[in-house]
Amino acid sequence: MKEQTINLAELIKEIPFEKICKNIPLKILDSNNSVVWENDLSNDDALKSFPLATKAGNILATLKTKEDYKGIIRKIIFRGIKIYLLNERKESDIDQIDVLFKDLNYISLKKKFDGANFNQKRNQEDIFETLKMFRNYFPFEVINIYVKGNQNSLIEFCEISTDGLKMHGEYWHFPLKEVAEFSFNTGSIYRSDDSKNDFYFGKQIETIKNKVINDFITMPLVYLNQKLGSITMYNFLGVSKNFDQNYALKNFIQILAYKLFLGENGDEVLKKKTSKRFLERFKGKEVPDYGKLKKNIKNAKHGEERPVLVMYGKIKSFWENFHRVKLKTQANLLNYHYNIVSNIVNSYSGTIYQIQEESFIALWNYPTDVEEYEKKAVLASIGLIQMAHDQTHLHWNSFGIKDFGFSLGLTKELVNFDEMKIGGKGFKCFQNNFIDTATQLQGLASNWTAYFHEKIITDLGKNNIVPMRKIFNLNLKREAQGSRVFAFKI
Amino acid sequence: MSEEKSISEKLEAEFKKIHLAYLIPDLKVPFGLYLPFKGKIIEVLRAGTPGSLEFFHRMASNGIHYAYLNNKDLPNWSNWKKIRHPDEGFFQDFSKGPSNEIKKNLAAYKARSFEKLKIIPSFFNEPEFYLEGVEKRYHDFLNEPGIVWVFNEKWVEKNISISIRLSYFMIIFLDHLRDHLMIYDEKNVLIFSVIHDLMSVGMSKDFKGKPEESTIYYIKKKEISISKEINTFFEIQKQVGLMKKDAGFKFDPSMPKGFQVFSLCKDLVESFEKINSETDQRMASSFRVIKSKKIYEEPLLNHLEKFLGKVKLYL
Repeated sequence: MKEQTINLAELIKEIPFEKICKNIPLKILDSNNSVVWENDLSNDDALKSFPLATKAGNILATLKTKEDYKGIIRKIIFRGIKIYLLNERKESDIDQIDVLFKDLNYISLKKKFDGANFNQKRNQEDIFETLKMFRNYFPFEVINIYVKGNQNSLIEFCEISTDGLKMHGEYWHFPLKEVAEFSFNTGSIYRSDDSKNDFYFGKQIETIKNKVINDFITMPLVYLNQKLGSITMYNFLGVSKNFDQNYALKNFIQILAYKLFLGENGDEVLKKKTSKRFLERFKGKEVPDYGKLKKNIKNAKHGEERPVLVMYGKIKSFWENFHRVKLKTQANLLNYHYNIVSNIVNSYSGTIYQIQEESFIALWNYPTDVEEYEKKAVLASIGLIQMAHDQTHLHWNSFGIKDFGFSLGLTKELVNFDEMKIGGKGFKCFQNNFIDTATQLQGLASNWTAYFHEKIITDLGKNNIVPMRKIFNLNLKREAQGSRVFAFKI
Repeated sequence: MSEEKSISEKLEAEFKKIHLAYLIPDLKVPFGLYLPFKGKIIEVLRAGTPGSLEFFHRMASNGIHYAYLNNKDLPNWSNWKKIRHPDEGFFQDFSKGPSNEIKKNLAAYKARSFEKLKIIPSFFNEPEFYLEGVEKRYHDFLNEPGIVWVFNEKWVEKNISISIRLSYFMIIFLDHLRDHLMIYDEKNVLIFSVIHDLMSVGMSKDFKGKPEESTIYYIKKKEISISKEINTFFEIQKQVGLMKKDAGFKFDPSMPKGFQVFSLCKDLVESFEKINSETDQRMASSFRVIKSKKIYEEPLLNHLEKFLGKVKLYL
């Protein structure tokens, strides 16, 4: 497969064809039949074309040359490919990726985001685990972390060495705060390969008597432009000190910074900054005028028939999880969720018609006409699914509800609006069961998925907004039986 | 030959090659990733979706370490890289220590200090040897790791010029005092003389507090870590600033001597700048101004008077 992903022109540049083909006619065409390389001799119409294929039989290029030369040129190109791949592998330093992938399952962002928690103690444990793992790959003798304390000062967080983990207040091998302060204050990385003679820290290094410090690297721990502390690694015991291209090292440091960030103020910061910023990303352009909306609903004509787009959304496994948290927290969590839902729906000219426990119904093209309401509803659904997946999910997680899930069902119905008068008061009513299809669709949709009835998507065009999957043979009943459904899934 | 651009040309003109290890599994990638495959450029990762661990595994096991991103996404890429890998730039100067900018600013600071104060050679034994020693100590002090952040910023000229005069003046004055008075926290006093009143160019518009609080504002804003002792100096400076307004305020012996020396030198340097006359007269009159305030201890003033006879200050 790899051969087929090579940029042929890039590869050909490395092979000195000008010299090799001084007297040999040659034209190389890529698999798209575009010329990659040619010389003047190749204009001869009598020349034949030969495919250049991999062992698996995939055609990489076509050679136009004399039959006698095709074999040798093929060999030259394959040798070029081999050298190119070797060089690329060297350049990319495959070991680093191996380092990352062995343990990423454990420390990766999956854990970071899905299992994110804002409990400082649990975050600390995560940091220690990550540090231990880090030390397995990057064998520094001692690593210590200082974190931001009160009143513009750094305080000891932890030190890990062959002796194990030492916390604040315990005996540290290298309590060199000045070194940590340096990277923290200047926001830069400092590395010394000859610590005793280091211009800045030579004197401080000499104060450590029980162990010898040969080299060190100090780096700031920063996340979302927020300074969190500083990590210093002493005495590298491995072979290669080529850290500047080492992505694994950088990513480890980033994960540590992120964990510190979560422990420090993740809850508050994520709530204040990220949710607003996230919400802005998924909101539509419309600025909802709630006064006008209220008036429109009040003055809506009744006794009319109009096409309405219905959205039914529901939190999955709600009752299984919800009883675990207190009543007050339940209310807060639902408020948080419905605040986002109403914000997004309204920003796409939709109206929330009803909210009941874990589910809601939103309508488009009601009570007044809305231009391009199908498109707006689809965009709102995408926003809702994204927001639930990225933000609400994380927020609920932080309160201990791990398997928050959300899905949507959308359909378009012709609805008869009417008004009943009971005791002099007017009650709006709908004559047909317009949410039946939407609820069925939602019920069949898996987590982070929106199911759209074909009535919506056929008019819009399947992939005009976002690529969607067509789903057949869904177990739909009643009016919806046999309908095609389109799915958007994260 | 097809008239359309070949894949190779297209890749070169419209795409940028990036290393896949920049991306972390399960973290959303805000740009699409492409690969040339079977004569087409195909999207292997859609913008806004996270690459799964399996995806990266598959790529690595197929020997694919690089992917392409569309040039349209370059701003997204550079933004993402800035947030995701803030250390990217620093790694380039990895083993060279602080950047050249810091070194340049420090050299300029030092050179300007030397211009502001000259010693009168006849009052010193072996003046050249003495100056050499002072310069070395001054250089070492300015290169203290705890103070390097000062040279990592652009400061408002008015503030930094006071700092430049004061720090060099104080290092020589403290030398002079050493035989007569015991100043326990010389190093901290010197550090404080450099940072006591700094205002960065960037914050000059935002800052609306009292002038003596500008450094504290900067330190809080930029989250700079400073020692407890320096923090204490800032607190004393705030209190003394308030007390100086009261008539009859005097430095009493219970206050840290180091701070009194700093305050005395600062007042002298400031009044020296305000007075318009020739250098010698200017030094004498600025000293008279300070003496008339009657807030400093008499022996300290006597030492300063003697010291001013041995040096020349310049604007």
